[in-house]
Amino acid sequence: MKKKILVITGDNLGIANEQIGYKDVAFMKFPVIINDEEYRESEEYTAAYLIERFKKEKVTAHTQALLKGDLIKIVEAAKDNYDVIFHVMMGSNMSAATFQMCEQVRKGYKDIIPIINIDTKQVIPGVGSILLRLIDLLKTSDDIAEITAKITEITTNTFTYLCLPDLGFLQRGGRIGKAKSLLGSILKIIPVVGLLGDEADLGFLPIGKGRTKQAANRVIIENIKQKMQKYKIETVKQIVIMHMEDNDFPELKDMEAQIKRELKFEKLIIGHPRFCEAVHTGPGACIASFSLK
Amino acid sequence: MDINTIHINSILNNSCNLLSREKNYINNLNVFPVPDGDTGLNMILTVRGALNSIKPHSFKAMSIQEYVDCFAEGALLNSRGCSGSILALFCKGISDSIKLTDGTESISNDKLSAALKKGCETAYQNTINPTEGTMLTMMRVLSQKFEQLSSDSSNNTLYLIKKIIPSLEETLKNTPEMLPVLKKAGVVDSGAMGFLILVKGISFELEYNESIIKPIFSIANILIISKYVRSFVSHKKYGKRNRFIRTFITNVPLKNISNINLTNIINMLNNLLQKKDNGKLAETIIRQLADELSETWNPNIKYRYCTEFILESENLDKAEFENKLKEWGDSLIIIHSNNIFKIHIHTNKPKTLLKFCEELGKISSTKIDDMKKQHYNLISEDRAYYNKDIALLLIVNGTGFADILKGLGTVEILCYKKVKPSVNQIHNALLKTRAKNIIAAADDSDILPALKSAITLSKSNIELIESKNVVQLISIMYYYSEIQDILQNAKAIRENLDNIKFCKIARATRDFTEDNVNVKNGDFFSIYQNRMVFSDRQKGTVIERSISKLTGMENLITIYCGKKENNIDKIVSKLQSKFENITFESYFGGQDRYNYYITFE
Repeated sequence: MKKKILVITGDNLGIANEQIGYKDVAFMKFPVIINDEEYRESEEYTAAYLIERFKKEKVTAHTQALLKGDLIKIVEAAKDNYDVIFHVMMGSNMSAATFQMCEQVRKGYKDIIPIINIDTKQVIPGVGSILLRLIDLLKTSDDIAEITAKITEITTNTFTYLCLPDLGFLQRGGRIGKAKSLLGSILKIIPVVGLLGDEADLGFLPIGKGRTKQAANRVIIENIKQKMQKYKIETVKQIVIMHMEDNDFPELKDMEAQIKRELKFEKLIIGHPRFCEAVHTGPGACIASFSLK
Repeated sequence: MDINTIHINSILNNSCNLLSREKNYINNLNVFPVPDGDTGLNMILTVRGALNSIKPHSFKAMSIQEYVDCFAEGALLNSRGCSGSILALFCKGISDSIKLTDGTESISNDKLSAALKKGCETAYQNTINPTEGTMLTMMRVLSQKFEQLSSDSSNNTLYLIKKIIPSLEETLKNTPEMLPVLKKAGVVDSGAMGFLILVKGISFELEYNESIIKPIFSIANILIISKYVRSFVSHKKYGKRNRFIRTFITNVPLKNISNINLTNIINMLNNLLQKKDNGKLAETIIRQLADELSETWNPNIKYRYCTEFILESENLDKAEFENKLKEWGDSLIIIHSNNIFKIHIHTNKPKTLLKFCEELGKISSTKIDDMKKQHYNLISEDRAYYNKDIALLLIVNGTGFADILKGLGTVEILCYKKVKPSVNQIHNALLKTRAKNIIAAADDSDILPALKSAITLSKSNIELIESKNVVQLISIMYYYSEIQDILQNAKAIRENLDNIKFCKIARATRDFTEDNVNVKNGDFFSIYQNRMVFSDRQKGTVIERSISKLTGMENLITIYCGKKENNIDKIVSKLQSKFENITFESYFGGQDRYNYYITFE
């Protein structure tokens, strides 16, 4: 008999819930603290809401780790109705506290229900992209070992690039890592940072810089071409692109055009900005995630 | 042994810190296989690289097996030089041997003994021409002694290691007897010393702040004293007349010299000075000690470049590959794990070798060290103590440009005014980077000869980028990355050097005609790709007309103002209203020669 599988994930996916296409998904919402008040994503509290407050009120915001109680509630409700739980989470390289909390819950339930924590080593559409790949796998197989092995391989072949007009947001969240070398330029530049599946342990890496948004997009295309050459990939399996403010922004259109012009791919998805993601990117961020294999 | 990954990580970090503090001392002992003075640095980069490959927030959740595997893999990928490669092989052997069943969180002394044995075997088997009197011997002694002592199950592991240290110290002391080149040079083996320091760090035998070694007495000093001794003795100038040399030699601080031969020389010399005529003793000093000492520290280096890289190849036969590589040089070490080969070799044709290997698979993490330069550094009086692997040095005119370049990433700047920098100034700037590998470029082709001369004086490996203007330096900053090696950086930079379209505007100091454009004294004129574009009395007109003529698909125009051109705001706002779809930015470049640089992006 086919196994019943629940997928748990956070709300930092870079895609909308409706884009997932799997009914057994439980979502957890990251707490967002704005000027010392806690908020969670809702119809009112969206990425656009936060970005507007950044622009108008210059508010400060930060995120907190997922709450253990929230996860336990989901697992408790699921333990008698499902055979296995896959938990697709933001990279442990980005939130060690969330990763450790999830590991504790997994160990606590090891004799009750198997929980497989998938450390995506990614953020925003990188997480969403891996989640979508998992859903594809679940539709074709219920061999847990095989799926786990495959999804682990997918994480090392997922590359996410962020063009961030203001690196200060990433810096304030303490996640800037080696990309701090791109801070403090007199010349106005758009830094491109990357979370690269094959070097994910290093956190955000400085990929390059462009003076214009098109040039920054160019940096991304060139870098992913190098990765494709390195891993002898001709066709990218899946690409997710998004803009933190509006998917009609010209830089996202330019990114889409450059991708269509220069890369072979199976699937191109236009993502959706989420509330907690805006905390770390700030306004104007353009993001692309490539799942190579 | 009841130990967890937090404990192991702390021990290895402390051990690595100890090694780091003694790095320069170890470098000073480096005579085999090539006296290039980098054993300490290579060992540190290997161990530090292995530790860094373990995520700081996740090792707590790792099993010991996972930790050891991760450390060994990290050592493999980050190994540097002969010493680092052998150390990585040792770690790989240990990791292959320790196979803990799921959930087991302790290592028995028997298992550890077997692991040390396997580590030692792996290191010997994978080193082409394994030589006794080196780190390999220390590994063997550690493994054998551990096996002997671990039969008593009551012995705690750390206690065992403490107990083995005297044997390792004795072995280290004997390395000159096993390897004649060490005896000639009057030193113990540097890699063996590094290994002992690592083991001592593990044993907690040392207080953290206590140094285990004597103050550093550089190789340059050793050679100078050796030279004085030889000159003094061979010319029989040991009478009262040669008071300077006599005073110099007899005041050498013997307690600071770790070189056994030199200590002997000075002791013998003191004996000689007390006797009036002792020709035989003088001959002995010259022949057996002073000459040999100098020769050993100043040898002919047969294969000049210490070359390392990672090759990923799925269907490569290791034995066949090894045979092919042997033809390219010596000191060959191949570390093989899954489809990854880490190669270390001394060769005279590193770039051709890399090209050859590119056909066999994917090459990455390339490193080429010029050992002649490193050796020259080791034996020179103004020795450079490297503290980083790679640096970028840009030579630029204009304080504004210097600040702009600094803001674009990690870079060393040599900023000059009207007078271009001298060879000596450039040489000092190269030295100041304290990097083993340097990418150097200037904003003016007239500086290239001085830069080339400075490069020949430098002891670092330097890739010269033949840039000709400051816009190319900005382009270099876009493509330089500290996380790439020198060859990858140089390749990316050269490929993109001319990516930014620009023109420059200057003011004429005489009448002339060029490219059918008439220019009068005092006129402004613009140049694009070495051709005259436009000329006029008013600079605003020249800027506007040049932009009209040269703008294509670009949507960002940047104007960099020269030293005397601060007031550009009016011109920019005029331009902005004329070219609505283009964004204009202006910055102070501070250059002497051209009034404006204008870039089109």
